[in-house]
Amino acid sequence: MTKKVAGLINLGEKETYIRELTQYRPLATVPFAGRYCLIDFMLSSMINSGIGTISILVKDKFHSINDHLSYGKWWDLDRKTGGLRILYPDIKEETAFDGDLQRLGTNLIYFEKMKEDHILLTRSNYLGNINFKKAFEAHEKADTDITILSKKVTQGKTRVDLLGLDILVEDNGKTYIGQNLGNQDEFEMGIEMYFIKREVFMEIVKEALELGKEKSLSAAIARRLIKYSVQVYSLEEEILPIYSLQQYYNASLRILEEDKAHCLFYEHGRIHTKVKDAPSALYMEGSQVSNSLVANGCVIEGTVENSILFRNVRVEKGAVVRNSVVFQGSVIESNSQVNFAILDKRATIGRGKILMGDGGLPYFVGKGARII
Amino acid sequence: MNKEKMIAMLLAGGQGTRLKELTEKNAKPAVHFGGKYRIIDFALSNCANSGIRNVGILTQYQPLALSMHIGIGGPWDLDRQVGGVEVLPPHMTTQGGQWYAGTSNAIYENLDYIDMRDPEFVLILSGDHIYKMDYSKMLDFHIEKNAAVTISAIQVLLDEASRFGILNTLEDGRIYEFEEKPENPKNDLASMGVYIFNWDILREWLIKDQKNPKSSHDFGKDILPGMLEEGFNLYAYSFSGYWRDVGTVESYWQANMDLLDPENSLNLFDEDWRIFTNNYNVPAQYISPSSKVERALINEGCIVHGQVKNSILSTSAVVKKGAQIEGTILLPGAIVGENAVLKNVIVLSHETVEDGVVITSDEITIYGAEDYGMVINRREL
Repeated sequence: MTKKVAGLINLGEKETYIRELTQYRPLATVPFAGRYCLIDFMLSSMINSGIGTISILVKDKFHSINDHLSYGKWWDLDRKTGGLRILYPDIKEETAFDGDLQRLGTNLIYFEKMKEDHILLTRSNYLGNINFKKAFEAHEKADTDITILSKKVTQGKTRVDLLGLDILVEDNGKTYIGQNLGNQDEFEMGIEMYFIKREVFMEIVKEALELGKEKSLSAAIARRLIKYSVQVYSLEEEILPIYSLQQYYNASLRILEEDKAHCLFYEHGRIHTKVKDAPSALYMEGSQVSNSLVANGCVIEGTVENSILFRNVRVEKGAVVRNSVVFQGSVIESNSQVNFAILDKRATIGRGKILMGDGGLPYFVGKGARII
Repeated sequence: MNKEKMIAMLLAGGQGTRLKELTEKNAKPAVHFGGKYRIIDFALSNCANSGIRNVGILTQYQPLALSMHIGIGGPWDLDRQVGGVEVLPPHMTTQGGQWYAGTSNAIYENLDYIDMRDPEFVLILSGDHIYKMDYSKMLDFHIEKNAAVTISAIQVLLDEASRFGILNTLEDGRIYEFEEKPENPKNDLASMGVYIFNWDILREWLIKDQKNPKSSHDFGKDILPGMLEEGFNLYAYSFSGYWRDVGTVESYWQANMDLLDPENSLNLFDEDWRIFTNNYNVPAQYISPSSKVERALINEGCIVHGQVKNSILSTSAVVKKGAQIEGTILLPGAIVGENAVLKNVIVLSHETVEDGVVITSDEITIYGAEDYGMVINRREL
């Protein structure tokens, strides 16, 4: 795959339902599983599958992207040939923020010059440890212009978390992209991942820009599926779509199941992320920790159950954290209680405070907030 | 700024025989410490944090894991276009070749490297001590005293002083006598094996010492006493803070256990003086519902199902269900089987303690034959 495929991670995903976590950062850099950002999973899946040329089409909140990715060192993408490229919009253009098609148009030269003949187009918010090699073999073997990757869903009627996501519909040899309204039990879910021949990709982008009917790449591709040879390839790996706060919370707690964690962290290679050099976590006298994922740099003297602690979190004596996700640098002071909550970075929960959300509605504490 | 004027030469070729199986396949500076580090990380991070940009690392004994660990120096920001880190093993020349014969001979054999860097001052370090120190402050002291050599020194217990090089000083820190491992020490001020030399003076002395057939080519035994005798300005820079020479299994174990005290003076949690090391891209540690963890230092990638007390768990170590460990150090990738009971054990890297094994002793037991010092690539569970 190394010289044949270039990855393109198209940021600017819909953030409407996860505003709390995306106020200061794009979905791509929302922290996950104690030490990662969401985009780490896609980047690592790509590099572990042998892709060495990866571009990130960014929309906004660049500081966060830049802070995390820099020049791609942590993913071995600091290369002379290929490597990481961040594609910025041209802010001189009034239309720069209209849609991702316009942003792609600004950066078309990058795709014209590359040597790889296929593009793997993805988003950053479908979590998985994915081996793309098999899917690419299928794409090459069938010699289709576009191979749409999907994930098979069963018991779809009960999956409220998948409402509104893409459904791939095959009819009379053609493939269409519909919307899941919860009326079907079994379907192939679209996960916004495509192998596209580079020339076809360029053609679609240019044509859509010229005609001006669409603003978004996904719409441009969806409308042209009838024009090209298309196949659907269903991935075996578990995929966790993250587009709402509730989904984020559920996915976070889901990785506390050990087999799920093992698949996500190890199955087709490791997940790489930016290194922060925190020391090992320190469990003090009297600490009680159970069914939790704890990152380095934490100091725990209190009780932690069914929770995810990111780096450098302090849980003081007598404090109790349950069913919660606590971001980097937060402090849970003595004798306070946190249950069913998501605490953004460097939040402080003062002594004796009680914070209580619900499994179906986690309490959110913003970045740097001090509840004292 | 003076900082650019000084380069560091880090002696990392020692075997550390008294560490037994820990150094069977692994040089002492590469021995794992404190859950995520190797001993050499402390000296290297001190260099990085002190603003030293050129570090030559002298290797000799079992260099494989050590060389892999250092690489091009990335973790310590020593992967530079200008300067950076160089690993300097013994080498052949047209005159033949030999192993490094002593600490000062090792530096002598690398005169070309130092000349190439052309420094004003050379900092000589040892890669086998656990401490945090700002070498730039020591250099300020060296310059202020107009010294030829400054030796960093720390107060030790008088009972133990005969294990060290002891410095007898005047009030202002000037050294009038240097005693290497004296039987009856007059003083409790011990050399830490950290020296700053004026390069022009050291260069001359290295060449002179090399020609002396009676010399053992050692800083403590030959160079420093010789210079003192000839009336050079030698100063002691007194350091206070955490410093351990983890030369024995017992002291290694104790220094690890020191980290369990949240008030310990090494303070690994100080964000202004971070200890850098390699990273292995493993997930956060998982502590299961069947576990009980108290007074423990646990690193990334660990999985704990059993009971852990007063213990250190290095990268990707596993404690299975029903196992109980106390006063135990698990090196990277070590696995403790179900219902095993360990007390005061050091389990070497990648060793598996089988289910139900019981090892409890007041003495420290090393489990496993050899520590290759490698960190596991992939965990299969």
